[in-house]
Amino acid sequence: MNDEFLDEIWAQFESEALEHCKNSEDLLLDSVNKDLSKAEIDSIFRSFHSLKGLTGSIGLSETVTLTHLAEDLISESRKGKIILDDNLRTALLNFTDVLKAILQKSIKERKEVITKNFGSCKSVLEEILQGKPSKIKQKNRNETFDDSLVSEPLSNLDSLEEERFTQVSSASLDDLFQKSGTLISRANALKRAFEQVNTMAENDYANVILEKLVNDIQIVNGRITDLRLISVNDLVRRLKRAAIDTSKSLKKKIQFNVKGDNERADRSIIRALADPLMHMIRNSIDHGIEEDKDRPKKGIGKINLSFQKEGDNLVIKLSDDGRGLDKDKILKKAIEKKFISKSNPKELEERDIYSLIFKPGFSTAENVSSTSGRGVGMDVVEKNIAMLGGKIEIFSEKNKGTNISVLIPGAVSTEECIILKDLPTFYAVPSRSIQWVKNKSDLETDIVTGTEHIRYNKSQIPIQDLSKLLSLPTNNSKGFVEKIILLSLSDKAIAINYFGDFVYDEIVFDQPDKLISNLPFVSGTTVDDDRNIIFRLNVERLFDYDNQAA
Amino acid sequence: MNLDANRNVLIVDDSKLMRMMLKKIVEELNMFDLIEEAENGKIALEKLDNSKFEIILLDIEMPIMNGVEALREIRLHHKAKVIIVSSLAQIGSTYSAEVKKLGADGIIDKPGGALDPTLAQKKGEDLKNLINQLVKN
Repeated sequence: MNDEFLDEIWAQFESEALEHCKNSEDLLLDSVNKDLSKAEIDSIFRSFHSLKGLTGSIGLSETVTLTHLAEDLISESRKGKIILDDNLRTALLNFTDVLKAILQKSIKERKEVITKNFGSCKSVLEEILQGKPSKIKQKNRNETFDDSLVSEPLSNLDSLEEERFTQVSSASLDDLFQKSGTLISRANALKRAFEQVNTMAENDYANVILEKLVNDIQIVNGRITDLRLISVNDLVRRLKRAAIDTSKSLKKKIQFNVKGDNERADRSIIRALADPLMHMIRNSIDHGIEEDKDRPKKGIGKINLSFQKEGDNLVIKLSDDGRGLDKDKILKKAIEKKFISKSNPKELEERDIYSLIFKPGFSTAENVSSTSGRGVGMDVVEKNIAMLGGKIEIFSEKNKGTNISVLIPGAVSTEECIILKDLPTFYAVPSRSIQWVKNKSDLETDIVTGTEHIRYNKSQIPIQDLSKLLSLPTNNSKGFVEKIILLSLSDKAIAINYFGDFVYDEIVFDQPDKLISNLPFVSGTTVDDDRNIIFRLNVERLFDYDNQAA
Repeated sequence: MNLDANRNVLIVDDSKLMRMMLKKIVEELNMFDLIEEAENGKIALEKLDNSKFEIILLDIEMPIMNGVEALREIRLHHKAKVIIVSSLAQIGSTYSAEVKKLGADGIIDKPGGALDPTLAQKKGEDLKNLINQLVKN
């Protein structure tokens, strides 16, 4: 077989195999809340059967033993010989996870790569098929299973990020090609027109073409933006998994309902939403929903998640019917932590009180459990959503539950930045947070407790060394003029120094990679035309840092 | 164009990957004018109404209309030789007996082993031999 054909085969394999994984995973997740119809069980069978066929055809000879087992299990279940209970469902969901990991690696390497969970997954499937696990063994297995489940949804998120293929409607592609063709011919017409400009009338004509060209560019840009849209469906699947895993590990029965899982949003938005939503759902189950025994009247805990487009915006609503937020407790804590003073609580509106939980440092050891703890608090949730230019609001009623609504503006907006090009790594500073940039030699400075301060709005602001903050080697020896950048956020200001020049640019930032997310002051990355990486200076974080230092 | 005069093959499988692989093997035989594809039994029957096919490669497990139902229909109205290409119809299985009873002309396991060229070659050869044999009869 020639290489080109093999390339096609692998690409087709990837797309089909992942589709079958998704289909079976979706249905298995549905089976938590309802009994599956015969058609639905058949559909899982067909997916598992196809997975067996696909893994066999491509020659993944070890993996095919696993897909074969899954097919046999669902086939027995189809015949009514095995019940699709919690145990089997967990095993089969685990199977789809393990399989996806194997597929991902094997597709990358173009040879079979077996992952470490393969063996345990296989023996669990074998045991269920033989119907022999004893009660005690079953318990043990669930425990070892839970370990793998906790780590799996995270790796699932990776696959969300690493998705190499995307389905695009052929209509929008055709349209895009046609429009880009128009663009080229217009640009050529414009070139010709300018070459022949002699008179005023010709100048007008050139201007008309220019206007049309700009218009076309806007249309093409709109279409390309549209291509970046993906369904929230994948995200929903991860969230369902997280909800099921959480309810299981907390031993709380819940019903997780999702509406609008066919809505679409920009892929960068969906990526950025995964962590906050995951966290919010875990929180709802952990802190919102009561223990089963404490809900005698309410019954099974209900969590509703909905996605809805409102104009260009994406509105996400998460509600639970749990115990609700305790206003008095929040106030008490906020006063303790000095977020508010004792005298003003009465002036606070209800929603202002609830929004106190977004304050950094609000969630403390008291509510950090293994489930929703994870070292992130609601402040991180709010920050991630703020990064998308979104808003989050909470409403709650005691014993009725909590509603959280998130509004994300639809378009990925470009951010106007100045780029500090003379640092060893380029940093971009969002213009909206910059008050001004001045040469230090033009400013009056004072030395206060050994540090140089500038004067601004009747106060003295210390000059912070940017290179030191970013742990970069200092570049002041290269003969650059020292500049002071004054950053402001609400009523606070920070002055940083910088040696070098800068350029303006409009930038669309990506979420920082995992590796980069360890850098404290980086909140986005992009690559410029010369393939230099540019970090977005995390101005918001800088102000937090400043608060803590103060 | 009179398709009847041509030698045509119809590949019926819900997996595009499988259709691609089967098509590749059939193409290597260099004896057919037209290789058509169908995603399920229903589409296959529609294609059969429009053109004549000498050989049909038929998968069993498919959505909408599976291979067994399709085979039953095909045998009522068409003369094409039908090769069941499925792992479900291994020798001795209930499916194997059923499709034989319904008049399948041959049964073969799914080809493949793209990772292993010699295995792929061997599986491809099996199918080619079977087609050659049926065409001669």
